[in-house]
Amino acid sequence: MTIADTISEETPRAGSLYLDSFKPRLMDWTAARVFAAKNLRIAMRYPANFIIWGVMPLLWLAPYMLMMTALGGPGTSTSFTEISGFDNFVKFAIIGWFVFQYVEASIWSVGNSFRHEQFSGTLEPLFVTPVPRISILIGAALSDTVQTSISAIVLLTTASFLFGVSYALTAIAPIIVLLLMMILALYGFGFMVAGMILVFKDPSVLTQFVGTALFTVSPVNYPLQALPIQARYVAYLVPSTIAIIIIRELAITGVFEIGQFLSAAAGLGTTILFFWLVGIASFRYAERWTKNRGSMGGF
Amino acid sequence: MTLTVNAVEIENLTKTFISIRRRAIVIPVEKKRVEALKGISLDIPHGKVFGLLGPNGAGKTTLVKCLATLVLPTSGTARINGYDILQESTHARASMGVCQGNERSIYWKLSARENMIFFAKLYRMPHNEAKERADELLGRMELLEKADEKAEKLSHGMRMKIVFARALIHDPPVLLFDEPTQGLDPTFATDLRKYIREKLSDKTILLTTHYMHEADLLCDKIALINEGEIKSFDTPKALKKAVRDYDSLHIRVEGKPDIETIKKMDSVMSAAISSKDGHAEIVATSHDGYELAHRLLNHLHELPGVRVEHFEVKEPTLDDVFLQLTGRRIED
Amino acid sequence: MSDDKDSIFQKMWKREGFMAELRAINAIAIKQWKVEFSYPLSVLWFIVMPFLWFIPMLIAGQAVVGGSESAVLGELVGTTDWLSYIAIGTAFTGLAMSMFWGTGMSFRREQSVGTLETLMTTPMKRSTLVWGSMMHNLQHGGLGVILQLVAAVLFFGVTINAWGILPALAVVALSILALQGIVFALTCVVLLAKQGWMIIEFISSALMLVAPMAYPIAVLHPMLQYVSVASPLTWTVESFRGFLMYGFAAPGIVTAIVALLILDVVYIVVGILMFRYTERYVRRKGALSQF
Repeated sequence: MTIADTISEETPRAGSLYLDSFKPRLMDWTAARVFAAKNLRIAMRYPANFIIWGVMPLLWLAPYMLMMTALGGPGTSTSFTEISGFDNFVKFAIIGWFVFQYVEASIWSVGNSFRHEQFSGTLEPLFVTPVPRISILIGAALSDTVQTSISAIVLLTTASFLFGVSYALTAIAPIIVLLLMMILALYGFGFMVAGMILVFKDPSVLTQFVGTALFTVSPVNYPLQALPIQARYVAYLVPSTIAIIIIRELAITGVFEIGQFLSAAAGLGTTILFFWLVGIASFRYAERWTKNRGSMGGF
Repeated sequence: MTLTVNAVEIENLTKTFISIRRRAIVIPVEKKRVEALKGISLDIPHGKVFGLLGPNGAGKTTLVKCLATLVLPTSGTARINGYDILQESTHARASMGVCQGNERSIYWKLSARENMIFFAKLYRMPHNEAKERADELLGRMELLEKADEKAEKLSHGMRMKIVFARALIHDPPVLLFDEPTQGLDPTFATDLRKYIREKLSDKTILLTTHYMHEADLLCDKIALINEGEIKSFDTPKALKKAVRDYDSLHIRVEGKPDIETIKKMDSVMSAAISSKDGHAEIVATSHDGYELAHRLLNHLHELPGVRVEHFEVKEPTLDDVFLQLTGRRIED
Repeated sequence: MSDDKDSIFQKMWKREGFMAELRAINAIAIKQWKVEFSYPLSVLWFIVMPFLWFIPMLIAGQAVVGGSESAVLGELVGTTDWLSYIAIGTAFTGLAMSMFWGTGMSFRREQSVGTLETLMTTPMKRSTLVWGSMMHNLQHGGLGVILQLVAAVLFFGVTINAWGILPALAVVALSILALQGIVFALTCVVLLAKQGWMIIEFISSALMLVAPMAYPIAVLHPMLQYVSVASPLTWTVESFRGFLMYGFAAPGIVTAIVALLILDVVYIVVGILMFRYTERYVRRKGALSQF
């Protein structure tokens, strides 16, 4: 019998009300909520953020609109109408940017929030609490969704106003459902990115890389038909592609078709499942990887 | 280079920090003034080790930062090696090496050698010379074997050695050491002190510390600083001599007796208390420690909830000098 | 004091001057490379970044034009070769980004890890630190420009006028002063503001928006056109592209270069004054190490 065995046999475990009632859980919603509230509270300390994050994408969107105007003429071009089926490329793109804000956030925010904790030295204390990691991830994601929604709506409103376009609100309910499903799918994607940041430390490079690649294959400024055929297949692997396309159609035409909606919802449902499984698995793997090397707190 | 009588001359240096708390971006709501330095004047002759001793927040670091040209004084000035820190700040910087006891003041992503070479170049050394100098100093710090490892892979003590060696890179006549041994393991702290005493005997060193034995061991002269003022300034021996007529009485008790009552007792020159976890340590000075011990122990005995655990009458230390002068203990 | 020791200090003393500052600038640039390359992914990013930024623009352009010639662009700037126009124009993006972001962010990093104070105790001029960082960003961004141009020529069939290469490089050199003026100003922002990077993001994106990289400024709102004229980036990109597309025969090249020279003086003077004032202000507040 080893010493450890002797000790564990002879010494009764220290107990307390907390310990006795403590049961490990797969998912701790309270922790997720608390974590999200903490993030939001910190974000509220910088109220300018919301405005800035609403206005900043305008500065990235505008160059595309201006370039397309300079090359194809104001608002419309025959070539664009031919491949996309829509006559106004500004109207086409702005709604695309609106949805893509969530994609961008899913890449940046969860990872950055980890990075921030890593920098301020709070990541390790966070990870020694008996809270499932996934709760922390979901908490971070929830608070980001709130922030992203505010800035995405600011973007949509200001851009529509500045470029003088408007969208149909008749199909707003299915738009919201699809948006929520997409956000859910993106959470899984965000977990994957968070895992990568644990491993690679410096997120700016990685997230920029992933972000730019996703932006390139996503039908934000241009329809999928503008992409080379191989890139179109890649685009369908991105959880947001279906959502962008269908939401755009709903917002521009305002016509709701049940068959199209259901097939989009089914497609999104599959991506949710896929990305959550892959996301959680890769985050778990990354966590083990960093623990083995003892480099979690470092940067 | 100008020849001066003193390596460091500080003239009536003051620093007031004003912090404004803002509720909105434009409306200041609350102004807070902190007088970190209240007219410090000091001369340090060439080749002397000079200690600044005081508790945390006494103004030591602010003084060092002012001298290092990192913080601009509110009024007054200082000269390093004859160069005014305000008018000739570049020359003043060239004349000194600064070591802040912070292992983060080197690049963790660079190796020890790369760090040293990089800084050497900022001190105008060509590459080969920088390399030679880096190796020489790393050798002296017994770091040559680890010279090519990234600083992040080294131990805390080793990183501090690099920080320390970095301050010596251009062999400056004046060195500012701000808490150089803080947080170091005792062996390395001892090594460092030995190095300062033996190898840097030709340098003028301004050392801030809140370890009294360190000041006692290293310094030719010591200034006791509290709340931005120099309370006393002399050799460690003379400082202690000034309180030699007093004894210091150390009593450890369970419970927390009222210190004000003790201060009012006959023959008590000064008294301070620090308490932790239900225990308290009382330090009191008096002309006759044994006589006071008798009365004080009786007094404590009568207090409910207070139990004396240990008492001792000691020869005066620098801490006692400090207590005598300021009513505070240094290591508080 | 031994002779040997004495000489190190004495030698340093005698080396004061421009060469010493230059050595410091160089050391800072190299150090920055080493720190950057210790993050393995940054190497990868550094190579693919120029293409990645350019590709979505290329696809968007292709979607609206539908061919290799844009009549609309021809009317605006005199060339229908839209691909060369945006490929050469946006090649400058990487350099401008790297200049705008690099210095501020490296200050931020040094400030938060604690090396900034140490750097500030060395006898180099305070502004040397900013110049050193600029040197690094110029090398970094310059390589990006070259990579994108090479890719544009090899993969997208862009042609470059060989006679224009040297003058285009001269334009880049000429623009450095004015851009550095902006960098000084951005560094002040980082030293002063808690979330300085947001302001950098805003200012640099705004400057990019009014710069004629992927479109001529004629398509901008008239008010923005005025802003654009006052931005050194505008003239830099115009003359850089002018030389690379047409060689010495580039239209409007003299105007662009004169404008750039004037803006050089204005921007660098304002930038240096701002930096000086800020640096003193920060030291007065004793906030060099706070963040």
